[in-house]
Amino acid sequence: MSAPNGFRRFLELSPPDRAVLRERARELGRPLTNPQGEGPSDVFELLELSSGGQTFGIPIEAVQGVSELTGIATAPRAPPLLRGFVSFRGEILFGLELSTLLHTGAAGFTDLRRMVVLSAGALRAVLLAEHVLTIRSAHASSFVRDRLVQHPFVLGVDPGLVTLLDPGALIAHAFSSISGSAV
Amino acid sequence: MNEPIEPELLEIFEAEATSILSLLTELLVNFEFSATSDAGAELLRELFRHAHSFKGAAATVGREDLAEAVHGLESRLDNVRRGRELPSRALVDAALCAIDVLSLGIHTPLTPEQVASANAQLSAAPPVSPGVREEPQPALSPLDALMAALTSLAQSGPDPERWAKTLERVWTERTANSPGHDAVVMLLGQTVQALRPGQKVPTGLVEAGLLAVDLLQSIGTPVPLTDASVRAVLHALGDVQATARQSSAGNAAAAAPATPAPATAAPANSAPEATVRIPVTLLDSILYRLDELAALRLRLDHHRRSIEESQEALESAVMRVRARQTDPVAELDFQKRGLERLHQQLTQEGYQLGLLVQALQDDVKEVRLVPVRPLLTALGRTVRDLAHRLGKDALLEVGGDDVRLDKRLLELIKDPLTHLLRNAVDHGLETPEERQRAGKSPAGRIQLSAFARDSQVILEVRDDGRGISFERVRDTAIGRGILDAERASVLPEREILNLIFEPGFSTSSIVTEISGRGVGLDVVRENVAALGGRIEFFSTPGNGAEFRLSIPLTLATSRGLVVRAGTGTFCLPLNAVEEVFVVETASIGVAQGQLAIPWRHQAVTLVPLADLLEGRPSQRPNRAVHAVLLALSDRRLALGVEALEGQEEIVVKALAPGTPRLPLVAGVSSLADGRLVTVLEPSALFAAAAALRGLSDRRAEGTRAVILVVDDSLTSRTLMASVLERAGYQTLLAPDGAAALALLASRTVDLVLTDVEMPVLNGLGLVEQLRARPQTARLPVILLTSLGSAQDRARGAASGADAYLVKKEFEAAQLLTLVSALLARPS
Repeated sequence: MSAPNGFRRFLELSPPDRAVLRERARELGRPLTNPQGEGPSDVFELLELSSGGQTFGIPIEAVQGVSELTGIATAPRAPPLLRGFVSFRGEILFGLELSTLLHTGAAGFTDLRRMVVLSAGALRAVLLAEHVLTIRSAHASSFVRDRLVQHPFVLGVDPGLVTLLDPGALIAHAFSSISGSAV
Repeated sequence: MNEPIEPELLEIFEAEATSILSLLTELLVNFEFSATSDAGAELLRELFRHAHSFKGAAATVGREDLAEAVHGLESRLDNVRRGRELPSRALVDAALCAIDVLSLGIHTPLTPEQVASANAQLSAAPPVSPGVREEPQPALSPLDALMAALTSLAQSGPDPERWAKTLERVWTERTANSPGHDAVVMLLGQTVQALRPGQKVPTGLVEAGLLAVDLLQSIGTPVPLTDASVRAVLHALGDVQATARQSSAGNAAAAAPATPAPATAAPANSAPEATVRIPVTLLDSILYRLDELAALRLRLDHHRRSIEESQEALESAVMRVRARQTDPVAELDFQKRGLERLHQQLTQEGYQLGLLVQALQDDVKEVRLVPVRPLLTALGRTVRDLAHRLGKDALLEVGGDDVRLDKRLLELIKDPLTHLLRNAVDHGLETPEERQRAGKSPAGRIQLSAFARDSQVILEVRDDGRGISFERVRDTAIGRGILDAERASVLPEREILNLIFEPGFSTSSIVTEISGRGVGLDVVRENVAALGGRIEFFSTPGNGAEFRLSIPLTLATSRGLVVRAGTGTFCLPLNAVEEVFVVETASIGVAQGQLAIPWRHQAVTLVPLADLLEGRPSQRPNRAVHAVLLALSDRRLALGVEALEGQEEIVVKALAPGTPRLPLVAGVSSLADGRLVTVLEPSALFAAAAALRGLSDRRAEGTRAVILVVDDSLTSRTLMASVLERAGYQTLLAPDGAAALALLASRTVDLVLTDVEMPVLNGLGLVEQLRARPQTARLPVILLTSLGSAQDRARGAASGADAYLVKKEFEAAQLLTLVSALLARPS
């Protein structure tokens, strides 16, 4: 009996690539438990992405999908954080650029290759990213609020300098600044 | 009723009940105008019959609330029908109110109070029969008794004794001899008598019974009883008998208690889902095309495998060539022929796919088309009620073809049509006295017609009132500052008449809830334009006015012109594009402070699209540009674009629900090459151009707009002043509300930009004081504050400010756009 298709492809990979995939599989398969063994677990899963040279984390529950950025339509008279309109499974959503929102270095247009679709309740928006790095487990307690970063949608930064975002607050902030808050 | 009602049956009832209520409304409105004529008598019969049917249908599905609520209406109509009382306006008013209550109960059961109110409305309308003594409530007529027995059958199951008596009365008290009558009564009797007490009532019996009652009621009326109608009822009853026989043969389960009941009604407060009825033939067509698509998918899969095989063959060929086992030229030629075959097959499949997708699009467009007439007839009520409130008589006549329109378009067109009808009644029609003096009938007539023309639907609203007075329009426009007297003397009459579409124009001298708010026709025009349509009007003073709306048949797909402007590619709906031409720099002039180009002996404003999209004043192009001439009703605007990419069939997709709207954006479309482009909203482009004109006018006049910046923070004041001055505005500064008021006592400003939290007098207090003073009551005010909660925003809105910006979200471009829009607003 021959090996299944996926496994055959795995065997065709180079040993370093196979090691990376094994490590990812271990990471994904790790149970979400509190290593301290006491109290409620503060472990959660997050998706890491990079934008403007910075790494961000999004709780995985808020990620509706990840896709390649194939096209973007210009949004006239929009604030800089709105890079344009994107289509995800036929639905037209706002494409937001984090680096502009956080006033870090803006990514070049061609650097943004990935769409991370966020959902918070009924609202959805797309974060444009240079790379989607990984999905991993993390401890909420490892993220601390940075006194210098006062944005309501930034939950904290961990020792690896991953900035954890609150998707709901992020979408609310973006929509509010796009709509211009006109009475 | 013992048996739970199937949800499907409830849906059918809801659709039928909605249709009956709409028909009742239309009939009542028409009846009021022809109550004493022969046509009125026929309308009355129709009214009674429909009220009766409504009651029966409601009882059939266990909606006792509705059956009870319609009882008063049915009784009063019966009284009029039998000559016990005369028709009156009060009765029609009460009947319409009762219908309003019934409408509330279609999807959600009425409360006992609502039921009582429907009947109380009718009881409160006094019968007009002063000379006639009050008659005691008569016993039920034989057919009413039959209807009651049918209702009881649906609710409590068969009661042979009651049925025998009822049918005997129907048989013996018939008013006319008719073989059809006897056959129907006999078969109905046989069908019901065959049921055992407690047996489940066969599906369709009550409906067939109601059909029979309808038929029996028509005997002796001027409407002839046809063989076909008798046969239809007999067939319906025959089918029921057959079903009953099948179910009674060993149907022990029929008497068994029902297992968990399915939902018998829509959950309370749940909004009814929008539905459309689809002809089976159309559904079959869609399914057929989907089958074709599935087959095509299989063929494409086959081609994919062929490509894989070609790749392998190519690799083998390369190896053979390397090993010098074959002639390279012959090998290449062989591979080339294989690829050509594949290409040919794929081209053919692509063509087939295009045809199929087009056919599917056409079918789905067809699905969305719904008849226009029900909407038009429903508006008769609006006309009637409004006319009565204004002391006028008005009748809406609905005419035209049997037109169908995209369902969403139909929903969106309702408000503009209502606006036009309100205007026709309020401004167009004269009072009965005025009409009689003018030699017209006391009651005004408004004709509402729909016609199909090519791929458009034409909706016409025509009244026989006083028409639109050129002098009145001109004087109003001058009085409201829309036009100056000098310009009025040279402008063509048509252009002056078109000012009725300008924002802020209203010839009504007072603001009422009906019209005169100055937000009527401009909004109508914008709404119609937003649907890709146009509006035009014709008027003959003294003989009425006609407004004509041209609306595309469907919104599903349209054509767009793809253009490049600035750094982006955009699409303009082609139905708003009148012409495209090249403009040389030499032909660009200035008219009224704006760039303009000559077009058919008139000057048309030219705005570079890139400037418009950026919200900055127009810059004169330094080389020839393509001009896209947009037309919105009688207005024209030339957009300068860098390049034209061509026309495309587009499907405009709206932004996802909950996403904020951007003012210039109609939606997004995917082009044939896969690129996404933003589809621009033509009416918004006109508005944006007007806003830019305000800014340009001031610059051209050398009178820069003065903006008063009020903030207790020196940093904020300086920052805002700097942003505004860089954009060409003049600024005045004040540290708090009191200082601002003091400054305003001696200086005139065009706009106030103020913080909220300030000492002495805060921003909200400042706005209140500004609004209280006549000279500053309409002065534009923007609140710019760090208070961003929903409550803060609500307080800002309530204060009377025009806009509320949060400092934390501050964007200079956004502020400048807002400022220019507010400055361009008519004062």
